[in-house]
Amino acid sequence: MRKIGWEIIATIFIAIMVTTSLILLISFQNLPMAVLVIFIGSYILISTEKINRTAMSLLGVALVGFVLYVGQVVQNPLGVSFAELIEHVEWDTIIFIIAMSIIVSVAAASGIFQYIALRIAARSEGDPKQLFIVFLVFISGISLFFDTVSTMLIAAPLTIEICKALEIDFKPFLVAEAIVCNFSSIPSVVGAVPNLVIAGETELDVGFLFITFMPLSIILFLVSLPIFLRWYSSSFGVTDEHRVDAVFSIDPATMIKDRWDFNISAAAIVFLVIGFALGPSLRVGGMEKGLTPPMVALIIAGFLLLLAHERANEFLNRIGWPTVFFLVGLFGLVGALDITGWINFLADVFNAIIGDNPILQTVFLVWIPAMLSAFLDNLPVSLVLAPIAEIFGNPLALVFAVNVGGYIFTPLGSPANMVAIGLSEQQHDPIPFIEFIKIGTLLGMIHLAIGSGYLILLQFLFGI
Amino acid sequence: MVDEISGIILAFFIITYLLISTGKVNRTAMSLLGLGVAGAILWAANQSTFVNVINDIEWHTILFLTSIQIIVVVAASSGMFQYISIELVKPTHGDIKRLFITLMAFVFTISLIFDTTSTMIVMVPVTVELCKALDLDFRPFLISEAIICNFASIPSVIGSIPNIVIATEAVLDSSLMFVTLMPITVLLFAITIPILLKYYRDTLVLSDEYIVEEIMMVDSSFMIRSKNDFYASLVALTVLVIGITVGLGLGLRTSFVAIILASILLIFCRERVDDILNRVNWASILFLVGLFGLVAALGVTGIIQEFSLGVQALVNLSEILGVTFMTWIPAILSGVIDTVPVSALLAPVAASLVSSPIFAITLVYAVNIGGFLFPLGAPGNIIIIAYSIKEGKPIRLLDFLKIATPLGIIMLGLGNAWLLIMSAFI
Repeated sequence: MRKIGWEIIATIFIAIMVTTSLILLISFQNLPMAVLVIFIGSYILISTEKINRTAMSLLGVALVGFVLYVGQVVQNPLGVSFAELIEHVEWDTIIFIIAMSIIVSVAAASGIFQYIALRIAARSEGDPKQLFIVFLVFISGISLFFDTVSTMLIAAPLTIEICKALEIDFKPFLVAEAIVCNFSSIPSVVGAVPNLVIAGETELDVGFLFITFMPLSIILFLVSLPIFLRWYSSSFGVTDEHRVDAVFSIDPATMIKDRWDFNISAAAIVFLVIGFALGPSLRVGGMEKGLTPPMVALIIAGFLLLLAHERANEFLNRIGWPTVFFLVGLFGLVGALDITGWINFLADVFNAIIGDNPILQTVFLVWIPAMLSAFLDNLPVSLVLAPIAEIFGNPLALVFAVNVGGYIFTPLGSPANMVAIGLSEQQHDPIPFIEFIKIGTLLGMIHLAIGSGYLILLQFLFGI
Repeated sequence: MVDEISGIILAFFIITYLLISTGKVNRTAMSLLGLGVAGAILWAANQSTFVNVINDIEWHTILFLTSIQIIVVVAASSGMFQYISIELVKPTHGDIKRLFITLMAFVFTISLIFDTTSTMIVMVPVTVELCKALDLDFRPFLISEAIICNFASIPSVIGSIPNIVIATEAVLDSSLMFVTLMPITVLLFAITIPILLKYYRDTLVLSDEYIVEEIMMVDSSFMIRSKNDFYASLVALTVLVIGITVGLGLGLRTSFVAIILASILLIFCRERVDDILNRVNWASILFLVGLFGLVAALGVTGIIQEFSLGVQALVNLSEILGVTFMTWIPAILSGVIDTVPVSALLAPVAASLVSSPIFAITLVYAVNIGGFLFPLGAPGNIIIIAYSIKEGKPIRLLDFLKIATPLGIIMLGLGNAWLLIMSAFI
């Protein structure tokens, strides 16, 4: 065996965690606390990065399932079976991520992204700083059309390739891209899954959201850019002249591996953008929901796979399965919090704190959801808080908060960050959690402050 | 309105199944596309939202299957099964008949713990290597292994994907399933071996003595890649089987036991986790996701419920008729379409027949036999055909059909009789 160290420590930690949890449950009949112990313990173990996070999040969901099951056995009213816990996982988001990964991997194989990337990267003429700026502008552009995970799935592999070709460290690029793709999604309903959820629940108008938030998004971008450049100034060296020439003398058209594949992928992306942009507002009669992005993505992914025929299995294996199952585990853990009433408890606390003061409301609806989504994945947070935001008539603050909350304190808040980190691990040059936390939290705080000011100003000027 | 939609969904469902059964389109792609389009139809008809259809998918079966696949991947890639099979045939000293029987018995045993695809992935390369070394035609061996790995899975909850699907959905007691089906499976093996030996008597002849001696001296330990993995995964599989049996009595779902074991195994595999996850057969897991979604869409329209009521009426009429129906119809459907979609479709029906678990057990028996009734019914068969083509000695569909179909029919007849006897007891 190789050195054992961390597995043993983790095993002991897990054993203590489970024992504490069972004592809480059996002796004190306190199921919510028991679940919280497992939840926090699993989060701590995941954050240490010493044991595999996919394995740990799956183990976490299994343990929480066990505690809930024991709860059922000792006749705690909140105990549920494992099958019920599994139903609390956001499976449509999982399907969505799988479908988008399929589309992206088919499109990537056709060379379409390499084509686009070379085109835009060529404008930087090999200067790392310029390249950095160009990429971030590109990201903020496509963030409006794709959700954050897809944005990262499209942009991150390209970034890595170009950076490797130019021998630049790709980690600053990926971290900055993950942060930019989170906040650039604010003005667009389809820009992030939480936006979609909030818009669906509160009947927020698509055009209204865009007009009010586009200026904010641009302000945030302009504020962040100098900070990024300062933060990473040491990692942007100067690239060799001949290397730059070698990379940019390539005609982008040679990146197209197969005309037919290229055209199909281009068509698929066009359909995807149209479907995402128009689908949600397609509501006939008394329909509960419009054409949801997961369905659009799944149909397009199915078509692409069908056309790929014998290469389909190859594409399926290229999906980031560790990330997918990490999210399954995370959703299950949060589902357990929901079952045991923690999330309703939060909502009650909220109601108690927020009075009638509109400014206080805005500040609270910005900062508290942001803090929560820092730890809990912004999607479940939006699901829970959307009804509360509707009561207070302030869905805009919530949209802003959950998107920015995705990158403060921990990278766990938004799946896009995990995609970036997952891809860096595949390159055997992982982005350390702490690196992400430092820059993410710094920028997040600045963004939240600007955003609260902006929202209060809007309220003051237009009474929105 | 509702009836029209049911009709459209049913027609769409049948078309999707037919396309899958042609084998001309990628199965996974077709089932995922089917799910998307079925969701769109239901959405357009304002019958159900896509989220509801997705939530109706049997996710815990998917998680169960994924967890088992993870454990099996670790076990299968340890190289120990190849090592054991070579060690086992060594003492046969080139007696081809004994070698044949030993190999088949080994396939029979590992089929109980591995799903059919994994069994064949482990066994095919080592069989071909052995046959080549002994200057034997490998085709009889591969065909026989494909047949045996299909029916040997019958008594085990984790023995094949259809078993996993049916047993999880119908909450089948794994020990009851084992006790009911193990005797008949052993009997099938005892009958099949002489038939196969007789059928292939011309090709199973002793080759050059001298080559034989050479082979038996081969050092097989180079096959072993990781002993630790082997022992770890074997412990996991054993605990899994015990856990499923005990857990069911305690009301714990099978998926729960499997997830715990798989995640612990993954924690100990450390940095190889991504590698292991990438070797899991995702195509077949996503295939099942799509199929479950299609069946869920059918469920929304109420067609499954009506079909269940029909079968229930038949069962109420006569249990004999019910068992016979559940033996032959699913078997033929599985042969023509594929075992997995058939079990995805019929598992909810079997689950609805709560009066006795015999129907779910019968369904398990039927789909596994159906897998080799026709060559394209189960992925195990497709693997051997593909491999034989790669090796330059293609197994033609007719080669397979000639021996497998009659055997399948005999087994269905025997099984039908056995299950009727069993239905008197449970």
